[in-house]
Amino acid sequence: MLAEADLPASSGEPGATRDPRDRTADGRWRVARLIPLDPFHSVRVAMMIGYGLTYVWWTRNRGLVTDRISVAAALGMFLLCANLGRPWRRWAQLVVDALLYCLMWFGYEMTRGVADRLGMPLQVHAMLNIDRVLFLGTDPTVWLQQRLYHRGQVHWYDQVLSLTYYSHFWLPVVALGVLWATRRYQWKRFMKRFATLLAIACTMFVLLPTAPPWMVASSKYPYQLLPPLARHTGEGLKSLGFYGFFHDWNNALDWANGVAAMPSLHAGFALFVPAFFLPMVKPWWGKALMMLFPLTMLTALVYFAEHWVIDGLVGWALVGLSFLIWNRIERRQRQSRADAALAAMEA
Amino acid sequence: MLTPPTVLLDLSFLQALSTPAHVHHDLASREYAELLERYRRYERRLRVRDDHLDLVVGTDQLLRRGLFAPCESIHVAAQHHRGAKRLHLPVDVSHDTAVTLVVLRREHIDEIATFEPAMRSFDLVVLPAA
Repeated sequence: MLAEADLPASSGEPGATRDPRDRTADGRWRVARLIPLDPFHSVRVAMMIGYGLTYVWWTRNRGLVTDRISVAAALGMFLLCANLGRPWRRWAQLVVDALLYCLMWFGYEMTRGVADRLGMPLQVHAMLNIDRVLFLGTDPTVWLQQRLYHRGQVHWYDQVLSLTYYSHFWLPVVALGVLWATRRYQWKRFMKRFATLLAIACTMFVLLPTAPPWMVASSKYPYQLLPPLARHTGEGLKSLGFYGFFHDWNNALDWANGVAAMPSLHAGFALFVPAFFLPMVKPWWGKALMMLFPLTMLTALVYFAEHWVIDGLVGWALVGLSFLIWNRIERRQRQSRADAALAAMEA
Repeated sequence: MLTPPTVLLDLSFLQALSTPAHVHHDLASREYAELLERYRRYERRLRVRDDHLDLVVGTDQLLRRGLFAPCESIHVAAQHHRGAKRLHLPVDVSHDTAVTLVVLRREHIDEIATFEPAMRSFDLVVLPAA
């Protein structure tokens, strides 16, 4: 502690020249008015807004960032903006966090190679049959495309579903980035659940390679278990002017694991993000509105012939499982720490 | 509620809690027991300044893992001290209290467990209640 001489010169003068707004009605001093946030706060806010605007411009004109290295670089730049002027220890923490984050995605990418080497049998009929049982003999993708898809026409719902589908590539990353920058405590909770979901999903990709609907219907593959289906996933987005996206997207398709249908991470992430932030929303209709998003995503996945319905349902179930596991672990941790403290008090 | 409200336990509270002979020990223990119950129910986060914790705990890791196990530490950096030195407060406070105020502001915490009387001059929720 400092001696009296080290106190600020104005300390102890009981506020004669102070702005009346510095005090509450009961005469106490308002911390928010007397103590400024750190000098870099407004710089950080301005840089993050600038970053957000640049990201949208880049996505519209140059394409959505989809490959892992570019996503990591984009996220890294955001975090640089968000941590400007923070203490050095915070930066060291950030480096450790970033390494763990990269390790998680590296593990995800590695499973593709493992899946190829292990050579587990490709599931072609199983998911198709489960969907038929769920829908009483109807193929949901075929049913949706027969009623809603018209070659050469882009309807409003094509645009909505297309936007929803591609939100998979930015929504979890944006949620992670914002939490990382503003609430590290929640970032850790988010990451534990997210990494668990990803780990279970990767294990399933390896053990249960599954052909998606577009593949079993395509004449390029020897199955043709469904009538020809359109894979018009990007048409809605293209009609909205996001042309730059498609070069990157077609490149991404070249290295994507085409038989990683079960479970659907698109469906999983679309439930994960709203479910995580659900406690922040109070009115029931707000919660219901948020939960429309995963439903819209599943509709998009089935309509675009990207996934079976059961892939999405399993993706959702895994989200529930990861939340259940970590909610229970965190509750037990709180319990045992509180017990340890009480025991120490009684000792 | 995504994150429960945070209570900062300051040095005066930590000392009262960890020293049985302290004049406020019983009061601090009762308050801490209540806070622990809220912590258990995910209604409060308990945080302490890392320099305060070091002063109280020292090398006694049993104390850290026992009595203060639920407390998360906040790193107090040089910039917090610089921020505290730049303050012109209308109330007489020590530099250490000024640093605590800076930490409270930057971490958006408005509840504090303390026996420092000056803290009651600010619009904070001060525990134990007067």
